[in-house]
Amino acid sequence: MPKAIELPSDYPPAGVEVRLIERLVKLKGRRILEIGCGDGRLTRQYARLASTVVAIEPDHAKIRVARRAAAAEGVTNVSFRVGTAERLRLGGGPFDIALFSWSL
Amino acid sequence: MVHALERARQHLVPGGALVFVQPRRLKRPFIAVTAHGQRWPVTGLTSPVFEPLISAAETAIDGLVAQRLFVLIGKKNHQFRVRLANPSQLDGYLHTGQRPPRFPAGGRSRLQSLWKSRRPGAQIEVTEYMAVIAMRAVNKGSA
Repeated sequence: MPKAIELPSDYPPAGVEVRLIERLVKLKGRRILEIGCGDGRLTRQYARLASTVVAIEPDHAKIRVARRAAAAEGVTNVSFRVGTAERLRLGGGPFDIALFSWSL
Repeated sequence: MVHALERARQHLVPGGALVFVQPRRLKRPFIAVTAHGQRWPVTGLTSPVFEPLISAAETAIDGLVAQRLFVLIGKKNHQFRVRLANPSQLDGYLHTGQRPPRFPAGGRSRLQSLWKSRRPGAQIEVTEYMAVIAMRAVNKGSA
C-alpha cells in the first residue's frame, strides 16, 4: 500500500492567528467563547493564555478529536461542547471575548 | 450569521470583544510556480460557494457597527504561503477544505503549461489571504 503523503494545512502556521488577534485584543486572563472551534486546532494555541474557554462546534466527531488533543497536550481550562451559535445555551459565561474562527 | 452574532453578543460582558478570523473578501488564493527564487504567477482561484458567505459575514459585521452595537477595534490582514511538490499535491491540498476553490477558465491549462516547462526543483506555491477583525461591544447608554 503506498504511503499517504501528508499535505500542508490550509490554515496559517501555528501562532500566526494568536499573534494577530493579540495585536487587537489581549487574550491573557480572559474568558473566551469560541464559535466553530473545529478540532480545536486554534483553541489549543491560545488556551494557556486564557482564563477559561468554552469552545463550540456542531460536528460531534470534531469535538471528540478536540477533547482528545487537548487532553493529550494537558490543556485543562477548555470546555468543548457540541452546538451552534444560533442555538447557544451556555453556562460559563458571560465572556470577555467571542471568537469566530473560520466559522462563516 | 446575523443570528449567530446576536447570540454571541448576548453572552459578552459590557465592553466585551467580538473577534473574527476569516479569509479576506477581496483576495483570492493565488497559485504560482516557483524555482530557485524565481516565481511564475499562474492564477487566482475562485470559490463560488465560499465567496458569498464571506460577503454575507462582512455585511453582518458592518451591520453591527451601523447599528452602534459595536465599534471597530481594528483589522489585521495577513498572507501566508504554502508550498506543494506537484499538481497532484495541489489538488489534494485544495480539497482539504469543505468548499474547495476552483480554477478560473484557462487557469489550469496555464498551470499545466508552466509545470511542463518547469526547472528542476520547482514547486507550486499557494498564497492564502486572511483577516482578523476585532470589535468592542458598546455599553448601553454610552452610544
